[in-house]
Amino acid sequence: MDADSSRALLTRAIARVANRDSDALKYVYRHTSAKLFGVCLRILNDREEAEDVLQDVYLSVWNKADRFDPEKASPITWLVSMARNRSIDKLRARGGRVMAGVDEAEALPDASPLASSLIEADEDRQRLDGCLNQLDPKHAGAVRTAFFEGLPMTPSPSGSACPWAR
Amino acid sequence: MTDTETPMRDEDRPLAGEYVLGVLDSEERAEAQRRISAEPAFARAVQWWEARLVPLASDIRGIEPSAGLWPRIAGLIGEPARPTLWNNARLWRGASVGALALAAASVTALVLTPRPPPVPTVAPAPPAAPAEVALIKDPGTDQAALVATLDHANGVLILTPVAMKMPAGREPELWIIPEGQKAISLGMLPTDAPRAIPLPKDLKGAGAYTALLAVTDEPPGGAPTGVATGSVRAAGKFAKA
Repeated sequence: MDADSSRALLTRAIARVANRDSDALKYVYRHTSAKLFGVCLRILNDREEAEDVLQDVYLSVWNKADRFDPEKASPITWLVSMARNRSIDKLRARGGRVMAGVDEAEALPDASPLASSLIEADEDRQRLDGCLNQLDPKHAGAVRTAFFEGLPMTPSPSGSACPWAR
Repeated sequence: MTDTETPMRDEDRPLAGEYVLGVLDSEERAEAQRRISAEPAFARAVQWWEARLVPLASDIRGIEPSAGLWPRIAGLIGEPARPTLWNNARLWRGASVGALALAAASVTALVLTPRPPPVPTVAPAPPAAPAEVALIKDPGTDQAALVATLDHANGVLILTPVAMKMPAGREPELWIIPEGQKAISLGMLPTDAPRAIPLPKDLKGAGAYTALLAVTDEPPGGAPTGVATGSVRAAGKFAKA
Protein backbone atom coordinates (compact mmCIF):
# COMPACT_ATOMS: atom_id res chain seq x y z
CA MET A 1 0.00 0.00 0.00
CA ASP A 2 1.41 3.40 -0.88
CA ALA A 3 1.71 6.14 1.69
CA ASP A 4 -1.04 8.34 0.25
CA SER A 5 -3.71 5.67 0.30
CA SER A 6 -2.76 4.35 3.74
CA ARG A 7 -2.85 7.91 5.03
CA ALA A 8 -6.28 8.41 3.44
CA LEU A 9 -7.57 5.15 4.93
CA LEU A 10 -6.33 6.09 8.36
CA THR A 11 -7.86 9.57 8.07
CA ARG A 12 -11.18 8.02 7.09
CA ALA A 13 -11.03 5.53 9.94
CA ILE A 14 -10.44 8.37 12.44
CA ALA A 15 -13.47 10.19 11.03
CA ARG A 16 -15.52 7.03 11.62
CA VAL A 17 -14.16 6.79 15.18
CA ALA A 18 -15.58 10.28 15.75
CA ASN A 19 -18.99 8.69 15.01
CA ARG A 20 -18.36 6.11 17.77
CA ASP A 21 -17.57 3.27 15.39
CA SER A 22 -15.58 0.77 17.45
CA ASP A 23 -14.57 -1.24 14.36
CA ALA A 24 -12.92 1.90 13.04
CA LEU A 25 -10.98 2.26 16.29
CA LYS A 26 -9.91 -1.34 15.91
CA TYR A 27 -8.63 -0.53 12.42
CA VAL A 28 -6.65 2.43 13.74
CA TYR A 29 -5.30 0.24 16.56
CA ARG A 30 -4.31 -2.59 14.24
CA HIS A 31 -2.40 -0.31 11.92
CA THR A 32 -0.74 2.01 14.41
CA SER A 33 -0.42 0.29 17.80
CA ALA A 34 2.99 -1.26 17.12
CA LYS A 35 4.42 2.07 16.00
CA LEU A 36 2.92 3.96 18.93
CA PHE A 37 3.97 1.26 21.39
CA GLY A 38 7.52 1.59 20.05
CA VAL A 39 7.34 5.33 20.73
CA CYS A 40 5.97 4.87 24.27
CA LEU A 41 8.45 2.13 25.11
CA ARG A 42 11.35 4.15 23.81
CA ILE A 43 10.50 6.98 26.20
CA LEU A 44 9.34 4.95 29.20
CA ASN A 45 11.51 1.87 28.88
CA ASP A 46 8.92 -0.13 30.81
CA ARG A 47 6.40 -2.37 29.05
CA GLU A 48 3.67 -2.12 31.64
CA GLU A 49 3.77 1.67 31.82
CA ALA A 50 4.03 1.91 28.05
CA GLU A 51 0.91 -0.23 27.68
CA ASP A 52 -0.96 1.88 30.22
CA VAL A 53 -0.06 4.96 28.21
CA LEU A 54 -0.98 3.29 24.95
CA GLN A 55 -4.36 2.36 26.36
CA ASP A 56 -4.95 6.00 27.30
CA VAL A 57 -3.88 7.12 23.85
CA TYR A 58 -6.51 4.97 22.13
CA LEU A 59 -9.14 6.02 24.67
CA SER A 60 -8.26 9.61 23.77
CA VAL A 61 -8.56 8.76 20.09
CA TRP A 62 -11.98 7.33 20.89
CA ASN A 63 -13.03 10.46 22.76
CA LYS A 64 -11.28 13.14 20.73
CA ALA A 65 -11.33 11.85 17.17
CA ASP A 66 -13.59 14.75 16.23
CA ARG A 67 -10.75 17.14 17.03
CA PHE A 68 -8.45 15.64 14.42
CA ASP A 69 -8.20 17.98 11.45
CA PRO A 70 -6.67 16.26 8.40
CA GLU A 71 -6.03 19.69 6.88
CA LYS A 72 -3.69 20.58 9.72
CA ALA A 73 -1.82 17.38 10.49
CA SER A 74 -1.25 13.91 9.13
CA PRO A 75 -3.03 11.20 11.11
CA ILE A 76 0.20 9.52 12.13
CA THR A 77 1.71 12.82 13.32
CA TRP A 78 -1.39 13.39 15.41
CA LEU A 79 -1.20 9.88 16.90
CA VAL A 80 2.54 9.86 17.49
CA SER A 81 2.35 13.32 19.12
CA MET A 82 -0.31 12.07 21.47
CA ALA A 83 1.70 8.95 22.35
CA ARG A 84 4.86 11.01 22.95
CA ASN A 85 3.11 13.63 25.06
CA ARG A 86 1.40 11.06 27.28
CA SER A 87 4.65 9.14 27.65
CA ILE A 88 6.62 12.25 28.57
CA ASP A 89 3.94 13.27 31.08
CA LYS A 90 4.22 9.80 32.60
CA LEU A 91 8.01 10.03 32.64
CA ARG A 92 7.82 13.37 34.45
CA ALA A 93 5.27 12.00 36.92
CA ARG A 94 7.69 9.19 37.69
CA GLY A 95 10.21 11.74 38.94
CA GLY A 96 13.78 10.63 39.43
CA ARG A 97 13.01 6.92 39.32
CA VAL A 98 15.09 5.17 36.71
CA MET A 99 13.79 2.02 35.12
CA ALA A 100 15.90 -1.03 34.41
CA GLY A 101 16.97 -1.13 30.79
CA VAL A 102 14.75 -2.76 28.21
CA ASP A 103 16.44 -2.53 24.88
CA GLU A 104 13.54 -3.96 22.95
CA ALA A 105 13.06 -0.63 21.23
CA GLU A 106 16.36 -1.16 19.49
CA ALA A 107 16.23 -4.88 19.00
CA LEU A 108 12.89 -5.74 17.46
CA PRO A 109 11.88 -5.37 13.84
CA ASP A 110 9.44 -2.75 12.69
CA ALA A 111 6.07 -4.48 12.74
CA SER A 112 3.96 -1.59 11.49
CA PRO A 113 4.56 -1.12 7.79
CA LEU A 114 1.57 1.18 7.40
CA ALA A 115 2.74 3.66 9.98
CA SER A 116 6.31 3.70 8.78
CA SER A 117 5.39 4.04 5.14
CA LEU A 118 3.25 6.96 6.20
CA ILE A 119 6.12 8.62 7.93
CA GLU A 120 9.00 7.71 5.70
CA ALA A 121 7.28 8.80 2.52
CA ASP A 122 6.81 12.16 4.11
CA GLU A 123 9.14 14.67 2.57
CA ASP A 124 9.19 16.50 5.89
CA ARG A 125 11.33 13.67 7.07
CA GLN A 126 13.97 14.27 4.44
CA ARG A 127 13.88 17.99 5.12
CA LEU A 128 14.41 17.34 8.79
CA ASP A 129 17.32 15.02 8.14
CA GLY A 130 18.87 17.77 6.06
CA CYS A 131 18.45 20.14 8.95
CA LEU A 132 19.90 17.73 11.48
CA ASN A 133 22.87 17.16 9.21
CA GLN A 134 23.65 20.86 9.28
CA LEU A 135 24.00 20.82 13.02
CA ASP A 136 27.09 20.08 15.01
CA PRO A 137 26.81 16.30 15.58
CA LYS A 138 26.63 16.92 19.32
CA HIS A 139 23.63 19.20 18.88
CA ALA A 140 21.93 16.89 16.41
CA GLY A 141 22.44 14.11 18.93
CA ALA A 142 20.90 16.27 21.65
CA VAL A 143 17.83 16.94 19.50
CA ARG A 144 17.43 13.23 18.86
CA THR A 145 17.97 12.31 22.50
CA ALA A 146 15.46 14.88 23.66
CA PHE A 147 12.98 13.77 21.07
CA PHE A 148 13.26 10.05 21.55
CA GLU A 149 13.75 9.88 25.26
CA GLY A 150 12.00 13.01 26.47
CA LEU A 151 15.16 14.10 28.27
CA PRO A 152 16.36 17.66 28.76
CA MET A 153 18.97 18.96 26.31
CA THR A 154 21.64 21.61 26.34
CA PRO A 155 20.92 25.06 24.84
CA SER A 156 19.95 25.08 21.21
CA PRO A 157 22.30 25.94 18.35
CA SER A 158 21.66 28.48 15.63
CA GLY A 159 21.46 27.55 11.98
CA SER A 160 19.41 28.23 8.87
CA ALA A 161 15.86 27.57 7.73
CA CYS A 162 15.60 24.68 10.14
CA PRO A 163 13.02 24.82 12.94
CA TRP A 164 15.48 25.78 15.67
CA ALA A 165 16.71 28.79 13.69
CA ARG A 166 13.32 30.37 13.09
CA MET B 1 1.55 22.13 5.93
CA THR B 2 0.19 25.58 5.99
CA ASP B 3 2.78 27.92 7.41
CA THR B 4 1.27 30.97 5.80
CA GLU B 5 -2.12 30.30 7.34
CA THR B 6 -0.81 29.74 10.83
CA PRO B 7 0.78 32.94 11.98
CA MET B 8 2.20 32.63 15.42
CA ARG B 9 3.78 35.02 17.78
CA ASP B 10 7.56 34.84 17.77
CA GLU B 11 7.63 34.51 21.52
CA ASP B 12 5.51 31.35 21.30
CA ARG B 13 8.01 29.49 19.19
CA PRO B 14 10.70 28.54 21.67
CA LEU B 15 8.34 27.27 24.38
CA ALA B 16 6.18 25.41 21.83
CA GLY B 17 9.29 23.84 20.32
CA GLU B 18 10.65 22.86 23.69
CA TYR B 19 7.30 21.31 24.55
CA VAL B 20 7.27 19.24 21.37
CA LEU B 21 10.89 18.22 21.80
CA GLY B 22 10.08 17.04 25.30
CA VAL B 23 12.64 19.05 27.24
CA LEU B 24 10.31 20.83 29.68
CA ASP B 25 9.88 19.75 33.27
CA SER B 26 6.45 18.74 34.55
CA GLU B 27 5.44 22.23 35.72
CA GLU B 28 6.46 23.82 32.45
CA ARG B 29 4.66 21.07 30.56
CA ALA B 30 1.48 21.60 32.55
CA GLU B 31 1.69 25.33 31.74
CA ALA B 32 2.27 24.59 28.03
CA GLN B 33 -0.70 22.18 28.02
CA ARG B 34 -2.87 24.81 29.68
CA ARG B 35 -1.88 27.29 26.96
CA ILE B 36 -2.58 24.76 24.20
CA SER B 37 -6.19 24.52 25.36
CA ALA B 38 -6.55 28.24 26.04
CA GLU B 39 -4.61 29.95 23.24
CA PRO B 40 -5.21 28.99 19.61
CA ALA B 41 -2.03 30.79 18.50
CA PHE B 42 0.06 28.75 20.90
CA ALA B 43 -1.72 25.54 19.84
CA ARG B 44 -0.80 26.39 16.22
CA ALA B 45 2.82 26.95 17.21
CA VAL B 46 2.84 23.49 18.81
CA GLN B 47 1.32 21.96 15.67
CA TRP B 48 3.93 23.72 13.55
CA TRP B 49 6.69 22.07 15.56
CA GLU B 50 4.99 18.68 15.61
CA ALA B 51 4.78 18.66 11.83
CA ARG B 52 8.52 19.24 11.69
CA LEU B 53 9.82 17.09 14.54
CA VAL B 54 7.47 14.12 14.70
CA PRO B 55 8.82 12.66 11.42
CA LEU B 56 11.88 11.75 13.52
CA ALA B 57 9.68 9.00 14.94
CA SER B 58 10.12 7.00 11.76
CA ASP B 59 13.46 5.99 13.30
CA ILE B 60 11.59 4.22 16.09
CA ARG B 61 10.85 0.61 15.35
CA GLY B 62 7.36 -0.69 15.91
CA ILE B 63 6.86 -3.21 18.69
CA GLU B 64 3.69 -5.21 19.19
CA PRO B 65 2.00 -4.52 22.53
CA SER B 66 0.67 -7.59 24.36
CA ALA B 67 -2.33 -9.36 22.90
CA GLY B 68 -4.46 -8.44 25.91
CA LEU B 69 -4.30 -4.73 25.31
CA TRP B 70 -6.92 -4.43 22.60
CA PRO B 71 -9.55 -6.39 24.60
CA ARG B 72 -8.84 -4.07 27.53
CA ILE B 73 -9.42 -1.01 25.36
CA ALA B 74 -12.49 -2.54 23.73
CA GLY B 75 -13.88 -3.19 27.22
CA LEU B 76 -13.32 0.42 28.21
CA ILE B 77 -15.09 1.84 25.20
CA GLY B 78 -18.15 -0.18 26.01
CA GLU B 79 -17.82 -3.48 24.19
CA PRO B 80 -19.41 -6.10 26.43
CA ALA B 81 -17.16 -8.02 28.81
CA ARG B 82 -17.84 -11.56 29.99
CA PRO B 83 -19.40 -11.62 33.45
CA THR B 84 -17.84 -13.57 36.29
CA LEU B 85 -19.32 -14.39 39.65
CA TRP B 86 -17.30 -11.65 41.31
CA ASN B 87 -18.51 -9.20 38.74
CA ASN B 88 -22.11 -10.23 38.86
CA ALA B 89 -24.09 -7.04 39.38
CA ARG B 90 -27.02 -9.00 40.86
CA LEU B 91 -24.84 -10.18 43.74
CA TRP B 92 -23.64 -6.67 44.29
CA ARG B 93 -27.13 -5.30 44.22
CA GLY B 94 -27.81 -7.44 47.29
CA ALA B 95 -24.48 -6.73 48.91
CA SER B 96 -24.84 -3.04 48.31
CA VAL B 97 -27.72 -2.75 50.74
CA GLY B 98 -25.02 -2.88 53.39
CA ALA B 99 -22.87 -0.42 51.51
CA LEU B 100 -25.87 1.81 51.06
CA ALA B 101 -26.65 1.83 54.76
CA LEU B 102 -23.00 2.52 55.53
CA ALA B 103 -22.87 5.28 52.98
CA ALA B 104 -26.17 6.72 54.15
CA ALA B 105 -24.72 6.82 57.63
CA SER B 106 -21.64 8.61 56.38
CA VAL B 107 -23.78 11.07 54.44
CA THR B 108 -25.68 11.79 57.60
CA ALA B 109 -22.42 12.27 59.44
CA LEU B 110 -21.21 14.63 56.74
CA VAL B 111 -24.39 16.60 56.92
CA LEU B 112 -24.44 16.72 60.66
CA THR B 113 -20.85 17.29 61.62
CA PRO B 114 -20.36 20.86 60.43
CA ARG B 115 -23.81 21.90 61.55
CA PRO B 116 -24.00 23.36 65.06
CA PRO B 117 -26.51 22.03 67.56
CA PRO B 118 -29.31 22.05 68.63
CA VAL B 119 -31.47 19.76 66.46
CA PRO B 120 -29.98 16.47 65.29
CA THR B 121 -32.02 15.37 62.32
CA VAL B 122 -33.15 11.84 61.74
CA ALA B 123 -31.16 9.84 59.21
CA PRO B 124 -32.87 9.70 55.83
CA ALA B 125 -35.11 6.70 55.39
CA PRO B 126 -33.75 4.01 53.08
CA PRO B 127 -34.91 4.62 49.53
CA ALA B 128 -38.00 2.76 48.45
CA ALA B 129 -36.76 2.15 44.91
CA PRO B 130 -33.99 -0.42 44.55
CA ALA B 131 -30.64 1.24 44.15
CA GLU B 132 -28.83 0.80 40.88
CA VAL B 133 -25.35 -0.60 41.01
CA ALA B 134 -22.43 -0.38 38.62
CA LEU B 135 -19.17 -2.25 38.91
CA ILE B 136 -16.23 -0.06 38.12
CA LYS B 137 -13.67 -2.62 37.05
CA ASP B 138 -9.94 -2.78 36.74
CA PRO B 139 -9.48 -3.10 32.97
CA GLY B 140 -6.39 -5.27 33.46
CA THR B 141 -8.00 -7.95 35.62
CA ASP B 142 -11.67 -7.29 34.87
CA GLN B 143 -12.33 -7.36 38.62
CA ALA B 144 -14.43 -4.77 40.41
CA ALA B 145 -12.26 -2.05 41.96
CA LEU B 146 -15.16 0.07 43.03
CA VAL B 147 -18.92 -0.28 43.38
CA ALA B 148 -20.98 2.73 42.37
CA THR B 149 -24.51 2.95 43.70
CA LEU B 150 -27.01 5.33 42.19
CA ASP B 151 -29.37 6.49 44.89
CA HIS B 152 -32.03 8.59 43.18
CA ALA B 153 -34.15 8.88 46.32
CA ASN B 154 -31.42 10.74 48.17
CA GLY B 155 -29.82 12.31 45.11
CA VAL B 156 -26.40 10.83 45.75
CA LEU B 157 -23.86 8.64 44.03
CA ILE B 158 -22.18 6.34 46.51
CA LEU B 159 -18.76 4.97 45.78
CA THR B 160 -17.54 1.99 47.73
CA PRO B 161 -13.98 0.84 47.11
CA VAL B 162 -13.63 -2.92 46.83
CA ALA B 163 -10.08 -3.44 45.64
CA MET B 164 -8.72 -0.11 44.59
CA LYS B 165 -5.01 -0.34 43.96
CA MET B 166 -2.96 2.75 43.25
CA PRO B 167 0.72 3.10 42.41
CA ALA B 168 2.81 4.59 45.24
CA GLY B 169 2.30 8.32 45.59
CA ARG B 170 -0.79 8.38 43.38
CA GLU B 171 -4.40 8.85 44.38
CA PRO B 172 -7.65 7.84 42.71
CA GLU B 173 -9.59 10.55 40.88
CA LEU B 174 -13.10 9.80 39.66
CA TRP B 175 -14.27 10.99 36.26
CA ILE B 176 -17.54 10.88 34.43
CA ILE B 177 -17.47 10.68 30.66
CA PRO B 178 -20.93 11.44 29.29
CA GLU B 179 -21.42 9.82 25.91
CA GLY B 180 -19.54 11.72 23.24
CA GLN B 181 -18.09 14.22 25.69
CA LYS B 182 -14.90 14.90 27.54
CA ALA B 183 -14.18 13.51 30.98
CA ILE B 184 -15.37 15.66 33.86
CA SER B 185 -13.70 15.26 37.24
CA LEU B 186 -15.92 14.20 40.11
CA GLY B 187 -13.11 14.61 42.61
CA MET B 188 -10.71 12.43 44.52
CA LEU B 189 -11.77 9.19 46.21
CA PRO B 190 -10.59 7.49 49.36
CA THR B 191 -9.28 3.96 48.76
CA ASP B 192 -10.58 2.53 52.00
CA ALA B 193 -13.92 4.14 52.79
CA PRO B 194 -17.16 4.79 50.95
CA ARG B 195 -17.87 8.28 49.76
CA ALA B 196 -21.17 9.81 48.75
CA ILE B 197 -21.24 12.70 46.33
CA PRO B 198 -24.17 14.72 45.01
CA LEU B 199 -25.67 12.93 42.02
CA PRO B 200 -23.91 14.32 38.93
CA LYS B 201 -26.37 15.77 36.42
CA ASP B 202 -25.01 13.40 33.78
CA LEU B 203 -26.27 10.43 35.80
CA LYS B 204 -29.82 11.73 35.85
CA GLY B 205 -32.25 10.39 33.28
CA ALA B 206 -31.18 8.35 30.28
CA GLY B 207 -27.58 9.55 30.52
CA ALA B 208 -27.17 7.27 33.52
CA TYR B 209 -26.80 4.27 31.20
CA THR B 210 -24.45 5.78 28.66
CA ALA B 211 -22.04 7.77 30.81
CA LEU B 212 -18.80 6.01 31.69
CA LEU B 213 -17.36 6.29 35.18
CA ALA B 214 -13.60 5.95 35.31
CA VAL B 215 -10.86 6.19 37.93
CA THR B 216 -7.37 7.33 37.06
CA ASP B 217 -4.29 7.56 39.22
CA GLU B 218 -3.28 11.16 39.76
CA PRO B 219 -0.86 13.13 41.90
CA PRO B 220 -2.16 13.95 45.40
CA GLY B 221 -4.81 16.63 45.06
CA GLY B 222 -5.80 15.56 41.58
CA ALA B 223 -4.84 16.14 37.96
CA PRO B 224 -3.25 19.61 37.92
CA THR B 225 -4.84 20.84 34.70
CA GLY B 226 -8.28 19.30 35.10
CA VAL B 227 -7.39 16.75 32.45
CA ALA B 228 -6.51 13.22 33.52
CA THR B 229 -2.77 12.60 33.45
CA GLY B 230 -2.61 9.11 34.92
CA SER B 231 -3.71 5.74 33.65
CA VAL B 232 -7.24 4.43 33.77
CA ARG B 233 -7.31 2.10 36.77
CA ALA B 234 -11.00 1.28 36.68
CA ALA B 235 -14.00 1.98 34.49
CA GLY B 236 -17.61 0.96 34.11
CA LYS B 237 -21.14 2.13 33.56
CA PHE B 238 -24.62 1.50 34.89
CA ALA B 239 -26.62 -1.13 33.05
CA LYS B 240 -30.40 -1.09 32.84
CA ALA B 241 -31.65 -3.79 35.20
